Amino acid sequence: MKKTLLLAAMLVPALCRAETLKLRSGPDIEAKILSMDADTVKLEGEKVLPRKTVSEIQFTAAAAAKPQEAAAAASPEDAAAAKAAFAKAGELARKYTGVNGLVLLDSGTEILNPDGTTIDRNHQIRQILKETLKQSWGQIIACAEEGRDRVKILKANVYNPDGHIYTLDPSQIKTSKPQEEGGDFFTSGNVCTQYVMPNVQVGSIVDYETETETYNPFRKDFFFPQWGFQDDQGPVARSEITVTVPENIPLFYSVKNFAGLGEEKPAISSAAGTKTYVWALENVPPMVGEPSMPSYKDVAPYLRTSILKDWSPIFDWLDQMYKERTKPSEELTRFTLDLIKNSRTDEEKAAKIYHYVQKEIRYIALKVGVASGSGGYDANLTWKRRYGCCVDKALLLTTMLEVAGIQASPIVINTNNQAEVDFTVPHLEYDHAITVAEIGGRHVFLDSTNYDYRYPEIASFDYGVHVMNIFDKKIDYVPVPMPKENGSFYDYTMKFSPSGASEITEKMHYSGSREGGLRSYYRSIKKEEQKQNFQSFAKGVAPSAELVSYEVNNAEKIEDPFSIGLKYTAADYPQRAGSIMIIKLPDFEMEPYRINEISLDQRRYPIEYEASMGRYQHYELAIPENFEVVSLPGKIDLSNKYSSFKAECAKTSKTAITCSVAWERPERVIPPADYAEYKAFIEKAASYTKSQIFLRDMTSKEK
Amino acid sequence: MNRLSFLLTLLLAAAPARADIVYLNKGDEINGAVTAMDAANVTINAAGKEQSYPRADVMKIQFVKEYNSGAAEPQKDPEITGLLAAPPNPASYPNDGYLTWLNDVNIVINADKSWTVTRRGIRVILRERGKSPAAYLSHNYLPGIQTADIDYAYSLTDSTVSYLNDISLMEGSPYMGYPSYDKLKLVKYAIPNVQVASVLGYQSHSYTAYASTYPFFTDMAFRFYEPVKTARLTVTVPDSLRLSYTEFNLPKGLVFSKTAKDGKSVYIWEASDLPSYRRESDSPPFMRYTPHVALSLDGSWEDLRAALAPLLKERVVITPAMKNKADELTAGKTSDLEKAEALYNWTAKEIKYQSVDLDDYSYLPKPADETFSNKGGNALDKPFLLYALLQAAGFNPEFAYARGKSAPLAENLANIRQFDYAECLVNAGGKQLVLAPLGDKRRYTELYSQLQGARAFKALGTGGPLFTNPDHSADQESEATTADYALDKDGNLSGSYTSRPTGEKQASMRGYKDYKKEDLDRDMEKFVHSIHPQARLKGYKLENLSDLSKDLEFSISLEAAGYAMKAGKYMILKVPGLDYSAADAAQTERELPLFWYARDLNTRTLKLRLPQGYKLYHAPRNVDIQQAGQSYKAAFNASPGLLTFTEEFRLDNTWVDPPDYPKYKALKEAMAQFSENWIVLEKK
Repeated sequence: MKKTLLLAAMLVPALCRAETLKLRSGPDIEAKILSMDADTVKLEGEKVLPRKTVSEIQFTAAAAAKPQEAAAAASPEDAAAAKAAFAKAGELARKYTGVNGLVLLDSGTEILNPDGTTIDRNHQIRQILKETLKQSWGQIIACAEEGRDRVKILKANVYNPDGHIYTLDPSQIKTSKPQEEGGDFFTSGNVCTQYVMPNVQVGSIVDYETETETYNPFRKDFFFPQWGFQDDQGPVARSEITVTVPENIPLFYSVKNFAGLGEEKPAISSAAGTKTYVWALENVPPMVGEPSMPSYKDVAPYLRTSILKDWSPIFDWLDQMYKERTKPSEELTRFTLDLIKNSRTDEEKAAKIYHYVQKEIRYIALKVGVASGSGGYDANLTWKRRYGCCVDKALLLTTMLEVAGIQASPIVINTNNQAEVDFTVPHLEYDHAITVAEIGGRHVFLDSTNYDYRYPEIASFDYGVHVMNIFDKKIDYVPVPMPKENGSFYDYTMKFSPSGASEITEKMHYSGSREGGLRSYYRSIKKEEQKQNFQSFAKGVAPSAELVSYEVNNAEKIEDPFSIGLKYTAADYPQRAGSIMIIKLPDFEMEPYRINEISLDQRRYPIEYEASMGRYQHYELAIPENFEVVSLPGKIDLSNKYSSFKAECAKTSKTAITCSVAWERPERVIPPADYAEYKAFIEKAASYTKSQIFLRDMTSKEK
Repeated sequence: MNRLSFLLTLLLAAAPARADIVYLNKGDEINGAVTAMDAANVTINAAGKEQSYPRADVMKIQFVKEYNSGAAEPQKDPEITGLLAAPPNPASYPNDGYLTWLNDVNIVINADKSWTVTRRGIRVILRERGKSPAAYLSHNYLPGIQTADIDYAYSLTDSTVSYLNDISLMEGSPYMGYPSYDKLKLVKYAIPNVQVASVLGYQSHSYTAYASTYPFFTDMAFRFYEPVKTARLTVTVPDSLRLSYTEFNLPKGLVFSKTAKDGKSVYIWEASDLPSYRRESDSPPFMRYTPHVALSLDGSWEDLRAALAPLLKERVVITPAMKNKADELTAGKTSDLEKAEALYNWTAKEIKYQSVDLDDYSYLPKPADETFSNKGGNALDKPFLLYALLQAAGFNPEFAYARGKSAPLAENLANIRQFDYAECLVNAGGKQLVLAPLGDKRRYTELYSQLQGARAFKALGTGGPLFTNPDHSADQESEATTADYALDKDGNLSGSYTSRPTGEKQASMRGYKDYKKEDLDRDMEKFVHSIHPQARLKGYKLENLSDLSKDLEFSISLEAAGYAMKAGKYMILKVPGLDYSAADAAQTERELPLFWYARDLNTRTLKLRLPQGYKLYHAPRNVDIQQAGQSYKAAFNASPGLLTFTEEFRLDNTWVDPPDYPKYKALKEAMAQFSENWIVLEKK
């Protein structure tokens, strides 16, 4: 009989537990569902619900919370912990002054069970030294996916300097589902546990521990604990992470930025069929922000671990999902072939399809679970809905390119404003998806998420990163374009009368991501607002300027180059000082706000730009006949490892002056070791651009 | 295609299809129609194929509802057929992303003072950038008081009708970061299959039960940043109740009617062909210029006070701990002014400000002891706690609700829901103080600019219920700077300056208290760098940063190599930091007024010691201009080896109507022109 019972339990496990039914109105109910058809849901106890009244059935919901008790009185252990924490805080405070808070303990525990379920515990002891941290350090918000995870607050004590101790009050723990206003990003499925710790004041120490149990993992071999050991609000007395895995499962890891802080190798111990790895750092100074610095994970001491030896399982997982979702229906195939029927080359076909997906599929991200989160939706569904996120658009683009006979693959990428993916340890780390295609013998990366990028341009945040090419199952690299391929090109003609009345014409065109970025802006504003912009441009050059005309070309037509231009007059553009006329060249000066990244005397971290840069200006000036040139900005030719700046002004005839500037930076990252040299270079160039053109009025009676 | 076949196509295309999602434990999401479930399996028809999954493998099933009830069928909607018969021409709307063809709000007030609101709209996409904003809709509701549902939402693209379904609809809490105030629910949704020329139709409704502290109030705007063809507001009120309303900025041509039928009065406001606004710099808050009608049920401010006061009084709970705190804070203070300041400073600093609107939580404050122990409160609860502490300290304070400057107060609508702030009034040291402790960066005398000159309602206190808050003068919103620089013969500049801010500027600078020391050091380096690329920070002082009882004082010293440029025997330079722009006054004309929340005064006295061997060759001409309630004067005075610069910018008039814009423009151009000028030194 024992055996029979066991077999029955294996066959009908659903009978043994209740489901959670979410109703369209009213509270959730827990009941055992016997059956369901198109119209009704039958529950145990002969209860029947119309199916249209039910919005969701959860089969694996976490058990409902028990009635909550009130806070317990502080124990002698709590008092001892408070005493120890204040002692530690005093010690740390003496070493670090002027910080917002002290992290006395920052401790994580990650446990992988043999059945693939996991436990993640987080224990924090922190002292709040400024008002600004009372909100963020004084409350706990821990989110979990419904049906997979459950969150518990194990401890939440507040130790106040006056000796009061406030312990966790379970009756005050709440849950909530987050949602933000905004039309582009829709997420669901998460429930957050909230707890506001009471009586938190400046000087309070908070001591709390949370536990997240993943009881229903979607993949039992995906276990990727990560840990950052530094805080940006204050020093960390001790930061530690403990990872425990079954003894027969190897753990792979990678550490970054531990130099001078501690041991990269973990302490390893074994017990009861498990192996435990511990990394710990002590006295980690606070992180101090710098303009244009890399992301936290790239500069802080950081650990990544994995039970995967290589990337194959991740490639295989994504490959399987993406292959399934990139099978074109007959209708999509017909449509694609019709779309490209007049395109002769692969380049033309790819451009047509790229622009179609950019334009016709509006960006909306609908993330309801693992598959839509990482795998996206079926390309045919996205095509029908006419909306999708980056993954959906990348899959549709891939599908349509393949229909056109162009080999393509979805790419997953951590954009260059996020952490650099550490490919030495397999893990899931990407925030974007694009497409790569073999077009005309070239390996072309295409990002159809945005509307405004002309084939084959992509957004600047895609440049210079290593990415996962899913169908080829390899690590690929998105190159950084050369400066001229990601540049701004400005042409100015300026005519001056003896009285100083001026007529100025500016023409601007762009390449690479610059073109797409500018097009995006001009497309997003009204025609009248475009005019206001050009009026402001002109006024920014000369307070007396009046806009004569302007042009915005191809803001909505992404197939063609985008350009802008304007013409304005100014009654008294050059500045007079006695007989001297001083002329400032428009946009010539490198204003400090444009070079904020070199504002610090020293840097600890690299400067990280999104893209390379090319800026090319050309000026043609027509000066009045009775004026002589007193001085012009001289010739300058500066260059270093990362950038070059060339400029020159010359008198080309009695009444003509020509100036040109070429500022190029092919590199995206400037390491701190070369900062001083780079800063000096930029400062020299910036100082040069303050130069003015001096003319003298030969007819003036003033000296 | 003739009209009949077009309508037939619509009918065919609009046939509903069930779209459920089965989520598997392994992460897969199966989209299709769940056809059956028994003890062992879940069966779903996906892409025409029946697939069964063991129940043990299923994590959840989402039943996807399509929103197509009520008057959803476009082919039967005369508004849609009328629109399709003569669709709008995008060329007629060169500025716009989409056209709101119809914005129809229908409010029915019931005899028990509960009310329902039905919102119906039709939009037409004119160009690409209109797609996302037109197709995105949202509404909020307060559980326990309100319910809200979508009747339908669809897009009509070519001949296909695509209905909104649960896939692109999500509900959650926008205030999750403030657990103590996490009540409001946000429902947001995106209509699918939207293209240029698509027609979007939608309707939702809400019901609100009557509560004396959350009574009927609405404020409907008629004109927006996209054009509106027809906007209509209909309000039905039973004869047992009386509706009051105030119209603001209504356009000519708006049609109003009031009819009586079956024991009810029906009010209708209808406006047509409302063009879009364009964004203009320094324009007032939206509700200060858009045409709108504010509505409430009839009542008087006195009656409101009489109803509200007992509810408020029972929340003035002063515990022994609060009394002790009040005593502790006022101990040793000799004057009422000092005591009131101490109580204000403590409330401002120690009670975390929770940025949750009154309308999104409650107009009735939490009991004061609750806020005291939670150590957190919003714009209602923090001032209410201060009110209780003032009482505990022996003051006789008053408590008021205030309408910030973001919208005008409809004076004839005695309705608590017009207010978005609260404040305490107290007499101390012969002064009437208005205390609104919201954040932790303002001194007790520094009222938020939103509240300066704001209208307010005294809910606890004596005298007339409505009053106006004091307005800050420009001197109370000022920054006075003195600087002392020296220039050497190589054009290098060195020196220091000191600044004393008040009002908004002081509060803003006090934000540095939340920086850790190293971040502050870096910010000062960045600040100096903004003066000149080669400028270096020599030192700085920010005194009294965290002490709300004292004014801030800021001083900084710097040096900048190559600050002045040489050209032959000349050396040219500008006054450090003098860089005015006329870019915000570049438009030739404006539609909207200019607006600032507070007055402003900036003064500066700068001494520049000239390098040896150089004399002043040219200094810009002095300027003195007064326009549109603002003034700017600046002057250079030269003496041997020294150039002194003084300037004063004063903004007294915080509202400039469009006809006076040219005067403002002239002022800004004169200031910008002045700052373009060079100081020229000549070698002796």
